Amino acid sequence: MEYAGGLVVNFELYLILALSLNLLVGYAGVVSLCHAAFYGVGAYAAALLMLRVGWSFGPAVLGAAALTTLLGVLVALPSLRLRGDYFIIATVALQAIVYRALYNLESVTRGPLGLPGIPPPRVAGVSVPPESLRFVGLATLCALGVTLVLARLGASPFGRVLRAIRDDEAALESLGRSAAAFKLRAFLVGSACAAVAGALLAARLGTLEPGAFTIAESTLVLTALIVGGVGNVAGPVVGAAIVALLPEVLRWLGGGAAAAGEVRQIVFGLALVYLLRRRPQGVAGVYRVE
Amino acid sequence: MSETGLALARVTKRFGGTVAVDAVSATVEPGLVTALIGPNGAGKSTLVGLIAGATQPDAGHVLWRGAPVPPGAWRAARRGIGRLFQEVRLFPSLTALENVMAGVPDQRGERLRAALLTPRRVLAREREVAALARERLAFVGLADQAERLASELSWGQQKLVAIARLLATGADLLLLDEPASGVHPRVVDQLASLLRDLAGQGKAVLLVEHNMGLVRAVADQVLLLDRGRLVDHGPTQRVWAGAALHEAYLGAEPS
Repeated sequence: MEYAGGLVVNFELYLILALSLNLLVGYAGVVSLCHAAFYGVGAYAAALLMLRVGWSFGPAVLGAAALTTLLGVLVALPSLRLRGDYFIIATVALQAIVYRALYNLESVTRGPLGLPGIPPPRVAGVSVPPESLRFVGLATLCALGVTLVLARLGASPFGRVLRAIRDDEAALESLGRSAAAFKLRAFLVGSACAAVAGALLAARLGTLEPGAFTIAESTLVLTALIVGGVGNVAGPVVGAAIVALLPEVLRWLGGGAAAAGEVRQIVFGLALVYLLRRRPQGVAGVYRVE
Repeated sequence: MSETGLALARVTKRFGGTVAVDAVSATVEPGLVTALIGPNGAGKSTLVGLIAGATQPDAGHVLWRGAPVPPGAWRAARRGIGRLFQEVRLFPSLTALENVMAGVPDQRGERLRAALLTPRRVLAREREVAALARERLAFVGLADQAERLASELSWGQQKLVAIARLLATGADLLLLDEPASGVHPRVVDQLASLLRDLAGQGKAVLLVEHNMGLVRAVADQVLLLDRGRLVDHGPTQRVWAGAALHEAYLGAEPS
């Protein structure tokens, strides 16, 4: 049961990450390689709020989300001026800066030593130990909440404006909407949701270290999203399921746990090449990422 | 100076050493179709970009209803200046209906908080927006194409959807950059009656066009541009009879 529960939580973490990245990549058409930076800042912010300030889980999630949106604004700014590849390079730079900051701000994050002793989350006075079924419930609640928010936004006129930006920014502006304002909002929502995943991760592990939030993680989430498909909810669900389940499948097939991570990257790479040739919109997506 | 329409006062735009638009002064009045004509490279599209707020003049003023056009296309659009691009530029992955809906102003569902917290009111407004968009599609004769993706429509249909999208914004100044280029002659006839209707509704229509048949059929007045300068302007019949038109297109008569 614990094993299955762990798998479910793993899936839900990647679901939140993929769905929130999907708002940027799949709807607004802004390819970003710094989602792990939002994830990491959200994780550290939530951990520090619980550990140092003594907040319970709910307020810590909201606080972390609010703090992470500040980083979201920082990332959104170059997207208002830079196009395509140039913006992706800017996100790679921001990803590197955030990782370095987590690593080197030892007085806050303890850097490479890691941040241990994050207490199990408390929700409405009830302790939720990371190994418990209750934690699976909590993670599911968070994932459902994020899914609901992003699905509703995607189907709303707000989502339509983002899709219009993806298709033709200048044409949208000719209709009296500022593309910059809408992209900024997409980044606010995307970064806040990634912070929710970060808070869950912090509560689940009880300890954080910067190595979990490198560009490798950003790339993994983006690859999962593109393999699963973008522009709807089904794509990120498929992508997250593949990320969460693939290592387990590989372990069944006899590879060691250590090899699973490496093999996963190979499998993802091959899947990506195959899909880009055969089905550029991904397994379940509706839109082709340029 | 026109307080109700568009007034250009010695508008100038340079690109490097080239003067693309050279001290052009003119007016575009509501209720009239004004054609902007001239050979390739005369500066027509540059002038449209200046009026639409997409680029800023180096000298002179663009006044719409007595106030300067604000910098930035989206701000100009909010003031009622609508633009049909020469290359149409629909949103290809949206349906025809969604394209037109995207043009309708005042949608509460475009605001984050409203979209998340008041889904019922958003949905109610969304129904109104869809109904309005269907009306606009019907106006251009494409009611039956509402659910098709814009990328699947023919070029002429795309032009008509783009006009419907433009009308959905409620714009009062319509900048139409070559609406008849590349479309079927039957659609050109349809365009002609559409433009007359729009002027009849009190819109100010600025028509940039190479199709002289369409210009003569619908334009009340003509602005003739050549190498960035306004070389003739006035009622269509008079400009047609003038020497400047022939000089601009065919060069000066050999003497």
